Amino acid sequence: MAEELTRKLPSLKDALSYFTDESASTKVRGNVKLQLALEGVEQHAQNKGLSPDNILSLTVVITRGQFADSTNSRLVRSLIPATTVPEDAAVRAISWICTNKPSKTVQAFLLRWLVLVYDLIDGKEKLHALYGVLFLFIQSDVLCPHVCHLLYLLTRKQDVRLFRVRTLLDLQTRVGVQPHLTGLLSLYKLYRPDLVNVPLYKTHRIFFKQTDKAWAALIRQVQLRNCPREERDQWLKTIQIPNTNILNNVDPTKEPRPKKAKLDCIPAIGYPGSLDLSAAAPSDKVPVQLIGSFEELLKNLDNLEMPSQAAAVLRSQYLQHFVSCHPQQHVAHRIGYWLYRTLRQDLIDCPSPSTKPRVEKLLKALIDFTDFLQEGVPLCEMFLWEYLFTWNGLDHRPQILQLITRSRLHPFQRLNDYVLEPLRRLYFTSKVHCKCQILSCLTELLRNCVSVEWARFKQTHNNEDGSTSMSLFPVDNEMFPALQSIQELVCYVDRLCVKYNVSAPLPQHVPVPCGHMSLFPVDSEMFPALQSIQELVCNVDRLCNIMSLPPSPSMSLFPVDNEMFPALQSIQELVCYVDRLMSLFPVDSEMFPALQSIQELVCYVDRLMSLFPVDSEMFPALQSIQELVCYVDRLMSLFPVDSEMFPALQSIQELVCYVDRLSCPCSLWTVRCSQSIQELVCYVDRLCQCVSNIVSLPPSPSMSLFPVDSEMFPALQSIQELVCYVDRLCVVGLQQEEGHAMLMHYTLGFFELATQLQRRFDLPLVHAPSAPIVYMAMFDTNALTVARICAIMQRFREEVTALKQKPPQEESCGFTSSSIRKFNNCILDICDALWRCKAFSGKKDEASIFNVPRSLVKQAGVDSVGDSFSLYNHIALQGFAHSFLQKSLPPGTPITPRPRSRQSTQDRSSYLDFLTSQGLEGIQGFISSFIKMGKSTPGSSAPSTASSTATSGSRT
Amino acid sequence: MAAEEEREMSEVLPEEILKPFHKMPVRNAATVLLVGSYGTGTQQLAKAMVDVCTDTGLKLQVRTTTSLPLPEENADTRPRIDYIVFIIDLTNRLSFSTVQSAVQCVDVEYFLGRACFVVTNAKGTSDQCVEMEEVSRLADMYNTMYICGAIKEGDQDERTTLANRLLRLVEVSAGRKNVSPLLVDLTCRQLCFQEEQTEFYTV
Repeated sequence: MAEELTRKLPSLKDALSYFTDESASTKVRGNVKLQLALEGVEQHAQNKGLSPDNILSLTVVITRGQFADSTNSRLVRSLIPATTVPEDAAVRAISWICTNKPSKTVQAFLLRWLVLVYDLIDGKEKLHALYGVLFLFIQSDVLCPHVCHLLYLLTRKQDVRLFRVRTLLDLQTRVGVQPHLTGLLSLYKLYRPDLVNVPLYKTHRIFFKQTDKAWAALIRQVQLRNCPREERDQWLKTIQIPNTNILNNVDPTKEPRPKKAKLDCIPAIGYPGSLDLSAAAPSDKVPVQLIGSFEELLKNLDNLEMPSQAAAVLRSQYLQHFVSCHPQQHVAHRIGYWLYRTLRQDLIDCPSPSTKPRVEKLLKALIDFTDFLQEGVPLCEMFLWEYLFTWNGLDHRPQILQLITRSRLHPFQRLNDYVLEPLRRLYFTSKVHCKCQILSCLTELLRNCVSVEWARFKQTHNNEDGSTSMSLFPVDNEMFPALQSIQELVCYVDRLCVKYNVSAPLPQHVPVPCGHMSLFPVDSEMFPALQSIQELVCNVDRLCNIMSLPPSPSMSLFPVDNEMFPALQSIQELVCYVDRLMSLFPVDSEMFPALQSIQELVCYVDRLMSLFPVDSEMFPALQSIQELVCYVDRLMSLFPVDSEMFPALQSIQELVCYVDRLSCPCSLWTVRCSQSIQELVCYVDRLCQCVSNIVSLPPSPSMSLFPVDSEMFPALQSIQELVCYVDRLCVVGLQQEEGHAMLMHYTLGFFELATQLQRRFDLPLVHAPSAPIVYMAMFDTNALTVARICAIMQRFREEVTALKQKPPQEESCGFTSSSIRKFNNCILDICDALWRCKAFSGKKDEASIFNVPRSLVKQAGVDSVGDSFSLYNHIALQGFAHSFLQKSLPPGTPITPRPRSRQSTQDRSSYLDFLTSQGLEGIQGFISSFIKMGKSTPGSSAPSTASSTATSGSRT
Repeated sequence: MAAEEEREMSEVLPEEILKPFHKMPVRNAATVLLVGSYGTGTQQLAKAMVDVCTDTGLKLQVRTTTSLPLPEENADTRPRIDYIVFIIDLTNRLSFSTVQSAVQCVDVEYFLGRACFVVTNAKGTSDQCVEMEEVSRLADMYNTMYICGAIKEGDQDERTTLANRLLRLVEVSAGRKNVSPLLVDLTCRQLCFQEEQTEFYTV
């Protein structure tokens, strides 16, 4: 019987026509035609799937309610799309559910079908419009799980409302904790953590059980069959992800979400559910995922939407730019707090080997972030302190050390107790390799202190001393009534006019300004009055030119309208900025590759200043310019120090483009609207220039993204103590490792930094390496070490002379008469050894290292012992001396240096040149700066000017 | 608290106090004493230390004890103790009180760089019954450094690291490095006699 039937199965067309025929019998029992049509549809659907048109017509059939429930259920089951599902079909299905005519079974079937084919629906806007309607169905116990699932798929950020959250929570208290409710709630919480403030236990990650596995598999197979071969591979990739997983809809090549969450604790940036372009339209904020390049970032800088979890900033370079140029306290706080909590949890409270990879990833992201900002996160520092307390010196060592280098300035005692003491313990208990790591960490710490933190520290303190203007800038994004502020400005200008009109030749067509005064309060509509403003402006303008505007009234402009202030401020800052840049970067310096673009920026800003047209709609943009300026300011203040390290330099040129673009709408607006406001603002502009010439500008707002309560402490002293501390570590460490070459390298690296604090970083602080280090390096077997220590000594001398040339400051520190005396001893000894060949011979000062009893020297039995450390005989330089003599001596003569008495100045200087050509320029520099080259006969020893030169460095 | 300690101190007989310089040192040899109650992993640590010591040319002896003072018997044949390691397990209250009473039987010379505390199970605060602050207070009181680490099996790397770190300290106190333990200790805090310090080093 069955075989007979299958043979007679009608074609799809016939089967469909049976259903669409209104007069067809709907009887189920004994209705062969119906059975045949049903089976025909089912078979076709299972083999090839249904085209969108077929699906639509079948949905119409189902929603007519003409057939019995069992028939309808079978029809729903066979709604297997070949390609896509028309949106209308989905909408029809929902509207049919809403009528409450079909039984619960059919309703549930339809909802299940919608969930299954959700990804294949060709448009979701209409469906999404039914969100509120669908939400009502959660009250039905039967439909609730399916509705929740569908809502989970549909939810966008703007759908998350308080009343929905309340309903869900009420429902949850009524029916208990259900996975589907938790799922929906957790999605809501992801979007709006502020609305859902109940704890959600994520014990089960799978919120929605896949009940229709066979059905889903069938749909997948049909889809697969209909795919062109080349798309199939792609399709297979997507198919591995549960197709109901909304979070992966956007990028099917990513790993499945749960796995990723385990490996990576940094929250995702956003929710691709709201990512459709159409969805972004209603709110004019742009989610950061849509930003693909720096240019796009600049275009959308004004209306970028922060991700709902601030820590996602760590993921995106664009967001970091955004946060950095637009510092918002609450964002900074949230980032800091999240970092602290996560790090603490993973590293201190419950560390486990399984979390190591993800902690490593997090630490790396954090390091990148702090490198980008050139600023540590204060709460992370607190975490570090706690962590170092029980650190075993092994876990995450490179990352931890790198984080330490971003420490802020602290009083030395605190730094010592929390950071240096744990490092010291590790230093003295580990091998030379680790010692070098720590030393390089401390060098970087010092570099950070002097280059970045010192400037920041000074600036915050200047701000505190200087002005109250900081409080005037709550940089808020809200639109202020610009018209009102202009009105106030006009009133003010009016008053100005009244004040000065005695001496000003007024234009003929302008009535007495007092008339305007009375005009404005009456006429609150500004635009009719624009004409008069224009005239007013012309008037005042001329007035200004004539009277050259005394400073005091123009000063009083700022208190008049606070609202106007940000705009003024930004103009002001642009002026000051250009000035600063000009002074900072002389045109001829070619050191920085990015200088070109900076100069372009300067020129550009300059140009902008001259024709800066502003309109009322531009004020938010103005604020953003101001922020931009702050941002560039931050960049600039950090820039000269670490030019190569800074990642954002390339983008400065793009910033130029941005500023460029900002000015374009102005001109448009100017054409469209009245010119008077523009002129008014031009006037303000000019006024500002006057003001900026007169008053010294307040420093730009805080350089720090993370403002902390700054405290007064002698920062300079703290830095000095840090340097001394590292000096001590180096001395003992070198002795312990017997002058290991690698440790020596890092030690010298540290002192190369420490001996340029004054000239390069403008710190009134000098520090010479202590004598043990000097001698240990001096008598090292490595020629480069000798050359480097010579260069360091020479640098120190330059530092001292440079510091002495400065006006005496009380806070300058680092050298006392006794330290200079020691330093001079070192120089004398080195000169004696290297140049004058008088090591161990001649009368020695008590402090000299060569102060050895003569009897002992004789006992050693070395010929011409004074010569043994000379430039030719020094063990580190012997190889160089050999190759030099080979070249310079006539062939055939034995290769031995002439005794000192027979060396000519010529010989020596050519030898020094040779050493310099070999990369040991430090030695020549040292000799030339500490020893006056003898002009006397070549045989005589160089005049003992070393001591005089050296002591000239001392200060009484 | 202080009074109590003094009373306890007085109970330790003078001859029971362990002193570093009562015996002659042996060339290229060092003896370490690990003090830790049962269950703190003294044996494993001792084994690890001997293992990592093989390629340094130092003849290392590691002795373990659960309490001080050391027994009278064999006192003559016992070599000089160069270094003392007190082991505190933060999850084991007994280990802490053992160390607390043991430090009182040690001569003050040891605390000039010839002793240290090893703190295990410092990671993860869930099952600790000794506060880390207590330990650091004890270490501060005796002006001695503490090292955090792990000894138990499963932490092969950490145990080796810990053994290596201890070995460095032992080598210094056995006079095999060019520095003395006191010199290392000197770098610890800010020193007021900083000016004289450089002469100190140039010996």
